[in-house]
Amino acid sequence: MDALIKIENLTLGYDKDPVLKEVNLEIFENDFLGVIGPNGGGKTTLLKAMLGLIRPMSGRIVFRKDINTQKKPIGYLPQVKHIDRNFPITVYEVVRSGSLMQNIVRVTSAEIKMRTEELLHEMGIYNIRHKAIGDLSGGQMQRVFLCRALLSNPKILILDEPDTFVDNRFEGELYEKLKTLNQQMAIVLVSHDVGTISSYVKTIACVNGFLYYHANNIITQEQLDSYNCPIKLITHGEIPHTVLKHHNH
Amino acid sequence: MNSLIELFSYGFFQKAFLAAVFASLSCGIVGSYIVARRIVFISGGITHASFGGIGLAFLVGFNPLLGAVAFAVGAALGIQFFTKVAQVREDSSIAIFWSLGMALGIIFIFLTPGYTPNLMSYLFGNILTVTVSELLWMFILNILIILFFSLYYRKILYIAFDEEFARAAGLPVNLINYLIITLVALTVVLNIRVVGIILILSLLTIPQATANLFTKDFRNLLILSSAFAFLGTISGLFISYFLDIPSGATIIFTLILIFGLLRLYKHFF
Repeated sequence: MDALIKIENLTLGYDKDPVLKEVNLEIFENDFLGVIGPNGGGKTTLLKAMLGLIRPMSGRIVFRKDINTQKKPIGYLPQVKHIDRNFPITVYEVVRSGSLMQNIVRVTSAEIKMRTEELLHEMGIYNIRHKAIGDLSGGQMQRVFLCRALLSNPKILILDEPDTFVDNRFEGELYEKLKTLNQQMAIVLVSHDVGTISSYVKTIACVNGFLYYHANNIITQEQLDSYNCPIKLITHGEIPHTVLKHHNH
Repeated sequence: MNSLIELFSYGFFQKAFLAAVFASLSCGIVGSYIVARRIVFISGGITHASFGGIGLAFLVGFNPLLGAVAFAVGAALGIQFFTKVAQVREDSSIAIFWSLGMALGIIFIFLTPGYTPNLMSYLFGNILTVTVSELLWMFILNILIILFFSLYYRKILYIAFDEEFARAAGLPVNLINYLIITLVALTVVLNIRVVGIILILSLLTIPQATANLFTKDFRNLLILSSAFAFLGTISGLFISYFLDIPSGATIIFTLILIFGLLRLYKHFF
């Protein structure tokens, strides 16, 4: 089976300064990849390259041939800070804007409308479809943008720090939803918090200037140390607790 | 009441009325975009830069609106170019074009021999002196704007809301941005005669702020902004006529009054 996306020797950066070097990565159907790493390590840059927003300095990103017929086989949920909450736009229109990712030629306006309403129902936000996005709670907003990402029936769903929309209490809800979606599409989830995602993702890529791939979802302190990939580690236990690294002395 | 009806029998007033309709539609629509997109400051830069073209037209002796169009479009594209390609901070490039246009205008007008009539009407506007050919141009602009916004409504909205997403989807974001900023420049210039360079920004922002009190849906915003712009322009026109005070300033004052009253109303009810 060929990979949905094949990334080969990819080097990315801005103004001749490489942010991310020599990335090799393959994403297959039903993959659930967690991308972790510190701020400025190149996580978002990698996503932007996959979305075609920045041109690689070298190397390439290849989509599998059969999904290449779709305009962009990608669904994308941006970071919450990226969204202008005061923009005069309704929930319905935000979700419908996901249709941009589709091959418009083959989809009629009536079909887009139907798909939009279907998704709004499915995600339980049909009754707020006329609300302005500025009037939504974090959880509702997250669902709206997930709807937008799903509208074009993507083969790969990319989420950039989706947990920044809501506080920790509601995170579980999203991850359960993603688990279901994962049966139909590959998911790439970016986070700076490995603990929360590690119980859901199948594989992990640690990004800090380079990309280190782990074929399972277990990541040890030794691995993090050797990759110089400083991230927050949160583990599950009786009471919520954070484990800190041992001191050297 | 009779004097109102009588007023409409005057040719100058009919023209002023049409100018009010055209200005309200174009500023209502384009202004909604400007406000939603947070490019009010760019629009201010474009407006003031157009003064350079008016000055040049006075000096050389051609239609001032032509000069204004050239300078406004030049500034609009120049600001985009400076920001994106030359990587000058956006607010700095706006300020550069804003003051460059004003400076050139002042120099050109100083060099123009003799008295420059109408100069004040470009700075502060005079809706009562709008000519038939200017009305014709305003009409064409309105058709263009309405066609563009109704044909590409969703594309315009989606790009304005999330440019990155639209880019990822492969939409010609840059092309549409350049087209719209050119429309902004044309809107500004062709409405200069109504309220003037100094005051045009308010016609692009105050009706939108008023409309925003009642709706957060972009389509309704376009319609309501145009309606509030018309309400303010036409009542300002009457007030200025009957009180015999400058029309441009009265229109702006009326627009702000309407906003203030409705804002208070929203606060208490």
